[in-house]
Amino acid sequence: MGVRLKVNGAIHELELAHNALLLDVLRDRLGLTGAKRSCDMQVCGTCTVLVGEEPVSSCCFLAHDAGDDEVQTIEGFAAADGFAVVGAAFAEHNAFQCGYCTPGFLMTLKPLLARGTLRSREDVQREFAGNLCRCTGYRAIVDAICEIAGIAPAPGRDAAASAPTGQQR
Amino acid sequence: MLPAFTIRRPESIADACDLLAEYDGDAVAYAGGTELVVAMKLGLADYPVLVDLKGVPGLAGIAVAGGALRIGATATHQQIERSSEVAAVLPALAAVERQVANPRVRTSGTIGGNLAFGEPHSDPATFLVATNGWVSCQAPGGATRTVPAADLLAEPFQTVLAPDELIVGIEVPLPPPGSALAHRRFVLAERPAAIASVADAQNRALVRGAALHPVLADRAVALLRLAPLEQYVADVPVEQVRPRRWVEAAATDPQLHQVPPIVLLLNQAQRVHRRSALAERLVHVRGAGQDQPAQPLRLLRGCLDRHDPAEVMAEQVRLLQAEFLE
Amino acid sequence: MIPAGTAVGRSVVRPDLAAKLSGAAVYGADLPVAGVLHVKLLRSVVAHARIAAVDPAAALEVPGVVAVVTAADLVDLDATWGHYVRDRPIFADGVVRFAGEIVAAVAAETEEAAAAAVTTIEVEYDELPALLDVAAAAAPGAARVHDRAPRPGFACPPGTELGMDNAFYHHGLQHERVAEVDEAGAVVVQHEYIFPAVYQYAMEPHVVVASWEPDGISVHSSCQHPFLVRQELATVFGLPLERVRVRVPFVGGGFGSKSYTKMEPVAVAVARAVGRPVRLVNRVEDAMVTTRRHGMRCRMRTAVRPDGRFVSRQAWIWMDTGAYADNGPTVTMVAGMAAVGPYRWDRVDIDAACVYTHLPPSGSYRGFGAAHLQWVGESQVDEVAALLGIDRLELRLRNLLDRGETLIPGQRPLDADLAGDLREVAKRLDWGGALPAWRGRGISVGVSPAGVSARSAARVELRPDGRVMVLVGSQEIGQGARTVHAQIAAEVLGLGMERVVVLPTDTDHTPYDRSTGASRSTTVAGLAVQRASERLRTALLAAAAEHGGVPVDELTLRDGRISTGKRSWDIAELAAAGPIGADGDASELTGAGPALFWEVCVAGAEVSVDPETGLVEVPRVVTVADVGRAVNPSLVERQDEGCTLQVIGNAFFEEMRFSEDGVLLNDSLLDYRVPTLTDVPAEMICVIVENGDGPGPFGAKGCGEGVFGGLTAALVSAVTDAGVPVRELPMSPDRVWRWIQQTTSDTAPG
Repeated sequence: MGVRLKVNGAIHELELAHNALLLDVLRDRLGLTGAKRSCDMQVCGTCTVLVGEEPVSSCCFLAHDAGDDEVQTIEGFAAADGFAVVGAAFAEHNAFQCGYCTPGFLMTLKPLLARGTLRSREDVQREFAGNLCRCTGYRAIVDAICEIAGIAPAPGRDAAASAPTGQQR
Repeated sequence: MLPAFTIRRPESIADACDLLAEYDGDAVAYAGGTELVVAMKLGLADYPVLVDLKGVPGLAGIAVAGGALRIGATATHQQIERSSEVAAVLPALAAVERQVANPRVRTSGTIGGNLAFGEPHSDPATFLVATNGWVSCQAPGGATRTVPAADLLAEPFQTVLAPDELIVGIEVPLPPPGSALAHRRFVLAERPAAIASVADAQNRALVRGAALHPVLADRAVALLRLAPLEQYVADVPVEQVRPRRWVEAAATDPQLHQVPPIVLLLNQAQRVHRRSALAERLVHVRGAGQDQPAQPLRLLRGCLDRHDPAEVMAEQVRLLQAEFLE
Repeated sequence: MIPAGTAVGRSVVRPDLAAKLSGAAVYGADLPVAGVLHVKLLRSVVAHARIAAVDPAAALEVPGVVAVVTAADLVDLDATWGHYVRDRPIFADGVVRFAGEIVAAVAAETEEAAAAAVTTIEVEYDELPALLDVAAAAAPGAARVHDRAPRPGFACPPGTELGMDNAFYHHGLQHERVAEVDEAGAVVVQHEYIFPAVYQYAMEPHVVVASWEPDGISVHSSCQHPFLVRQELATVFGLPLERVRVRVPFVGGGFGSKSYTKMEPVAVAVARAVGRPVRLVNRVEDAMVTTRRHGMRCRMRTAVRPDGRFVSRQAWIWMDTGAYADNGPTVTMVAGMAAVGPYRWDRVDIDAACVYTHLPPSGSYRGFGAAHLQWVGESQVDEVAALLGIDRLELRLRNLLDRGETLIPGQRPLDADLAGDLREVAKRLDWGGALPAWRGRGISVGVSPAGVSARSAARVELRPDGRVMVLVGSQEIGQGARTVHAQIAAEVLGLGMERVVVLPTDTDHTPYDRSTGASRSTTVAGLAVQRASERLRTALLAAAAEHGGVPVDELTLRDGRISTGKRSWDIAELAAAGPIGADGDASELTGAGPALFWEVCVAGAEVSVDPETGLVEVPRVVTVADVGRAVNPSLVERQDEGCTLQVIGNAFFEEMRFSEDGVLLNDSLLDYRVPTLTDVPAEMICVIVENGDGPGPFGAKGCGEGVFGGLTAALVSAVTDAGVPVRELPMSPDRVWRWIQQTTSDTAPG
């Protein structure tokens, strides 16, 4: 069945089986491999893309259900003007390790920034509880997102937190 | 990867029902697909035809009418969570919806889909039970009926709906003036572990698991689906249905440590679910300083007059603690 | 604090930032491979059975299917692999030994066709009784999981004894410090302990792209040890090393789950059968039956004199390695060492056994051995402290080894200041202060052998464009190895980080490195990079001296420029005619493993137990990264924090559950819960200790694993301090609640 997908501002006319999953279409047909597959069950968030400005688990989203809504992936977000501040915060807070979960976190972040709904660290913790990371321990990611959203740092966490405190012997 | 299927897009509720009837068990209705797609991936569902309800008029929509909140079946969790109508008249429902799964599931998943899937400890479904909500259905030929939420499940993952019958919406009676509603959630896993399919034995374990953690933390309360409990209560003589007995049984059951503590219920102060003998037991509390058990409704209503919902909950915690740890 | 250099000692931004954030980083499943076939595997649904028949006929009829491969297609090979024990057939050959074992593979043009075809393959199993726990498997007279004598793998240390029983490998530690061990009047504690099987869950599951060409095997794999994989494939498929090429793309986490060989042999076997490149991608349910952490049972006995002096420690340990050994013997050895603890004992008597069962194979997972045993030994120390009325910190300090003392005879002496580390933790926990009921504090101290092998070489090359390429065989699996190596080269060569590029590994071109694990990437491979960089620096200065007609000692090298008083050159000019390279290695690290250094496993925690639900909250965690020199402090901190969350999962709720038939029940993330950000402790304090006492570059020694041993033990200690004795992990709410009831009823009057 023919379908017209709008992805990152481009239009793609594709012949897709009805059971085609959005994640597979993005990765295998359009070469947009930024969205990943991990749990395959909507739990982990590595496959997160935006459909109509809202996050979906593309591993469980039928491509035919995208309809006229714009699909946005990390490749689109990373090319956009506002991305520099995201990259800077993730760099400063060293908020990634293997990077496999990172696109999912960032695509979850994009609409929250647009809507301005992140006003406290608790907001961040609630909105990202559905994104798994196995490498970083999460704290640095939350710090980076807070900085991007203009939320003040957690009390007691100072800039020298990871400064070495050795005793030379 | 999913099994092969064809997507059909009916343009009315009647057409949708007719499609379901035409395919006679080989078709299933869907909207977000958040439960259905996972079930298909696990090999637990395989339908040659998917009937897409998303574009069907009359299935979306959130409105207050006649002392009830009416929500269409294809309203997403996210829409309910963000709805100004819901915020105005039933903020506890918005709070429940905000905690369904994760934001991605809430974007696509719908209240109708959630109910139709028949997950026994679905939070929205449980909320509907606790609030005496209704599910509206339509069959081919235009026949409609309403099913009390408490009666929606024939068994876990199986509703009482006929294969060609559609959930078109839900209705929640609004709490009368002077009453309040509160909800908090306590969960450890997405789903109970060690349960690949749901059958009697495992549900019994769930029930016993609930007994293992009978007491509410004051910041962690969940709503427990009472209907399945009733089935197992029915199997056991009522006089034996005592939490204490379950706790003792649980302590010796080697499988039980596998059951997560999905616990316990009841925060609709005014409406007590009476159909379950267990529910009556749970609310059968002792009034302080009285020789005989206080009538549950009176006592709880008494609490309501004086306290805000959070304190009502805390009061219930104390009373239930007394019941369970006597 | 050691002052930072120009690059070393700084929390520089990782060079892989842009690629990972933008989605451009290419992981194994992202590799574009023209004409690739998709591989799906048929796995056994029974734990132990003879395979009576395998009928692929229906599968071959599925459109798009190119081949179905089974053991029958490999009869011309010795189609068994395993680096320590060569015991694992590529395809189950006549018998399956665990539910999930690979019976057949389908290669097809589409993933869908392959998946559909797998379901049509008919297999007839004659089921056999299965041994599903170590007690049953290690019991005398138990049926053998493997009938034939174990064959040493290519990496089996010479002289290793491998027995015929299910407990096929033992690591014993018996030594006495004194002529007569006197336990008169000693306090003795003895208990049994249980540790669960857990799953590493690297978020990227295993992926292999394999092709079989006339000139050899080519593999892209998400592997941690590409050189060992190369060796394994060469061995199994009967090829010289030079005809096996392994390349590693970006890897989405490893933690040991991608160590040694995993999916490569089956992928290569399929490629060989079809003559086209194939891609094999694990799903989570595949990965969970490919490798996991050993479950363990242990009996431990500790005797301590009334004055608090430690007398003897005995332990009997059974590690459940599943149906195939993988890295089981190494894990078992390290577990045995962890059972001792860093203390002065009059007598130590440990027997650790690696035991076959009919469960999925167990292998490496971060901090193995120490994660399994440190909490056991430390909880006995705590128990003795309570019985003697001595403070837990004080009791440890009285018996703790000093730097330079012998931990285990024949092994390198202790090379860290553990007492200092422990005191840092205690300070940050406000040790000694009062706590309300149901709150507790715990501390723990231990060490674990790290480094394993000094075999690591590196090459650095100055290119005409002025950039320096670093070729080193450590894998970047997220931990930041590539960043650290760039920092080391940048520091020695006086370059900005933007001029240093660490190239991905290609075994055809990259110098040999044994493995990425055992916390050795900074210490061992980093040392090779340092030595190579030093040689390059020397060569560049010599070239500049000759070029400029100036004595070498009048030259300085900084910011990419070589200068005398009057003139300066960008080093790129020296390479105008062609690259200048230099090699280095880590051969100066003396002593064969297992410990090139001891990784410090010291941590502390504060917990709050809810007695009504059994839920445990962790408001504060203190970890010590005793790293000699922190090449990148932020990376060190991130390792400790990441490990902290994994520990919280392992300690409080992660466990793999098997049915009574040996089938994994919770084989998806819906049912196997891993930590989310709601599980992050309110305070995570990472104490980086720099004593300059590591054998690696700039006095560094590795990190990243110590927290698993230290924090698991500290959490058990804290929960016990809160009033709940712990002998089993995970400390899930239902268990904690039940232990509280037992403790309450044990102490109830009447």
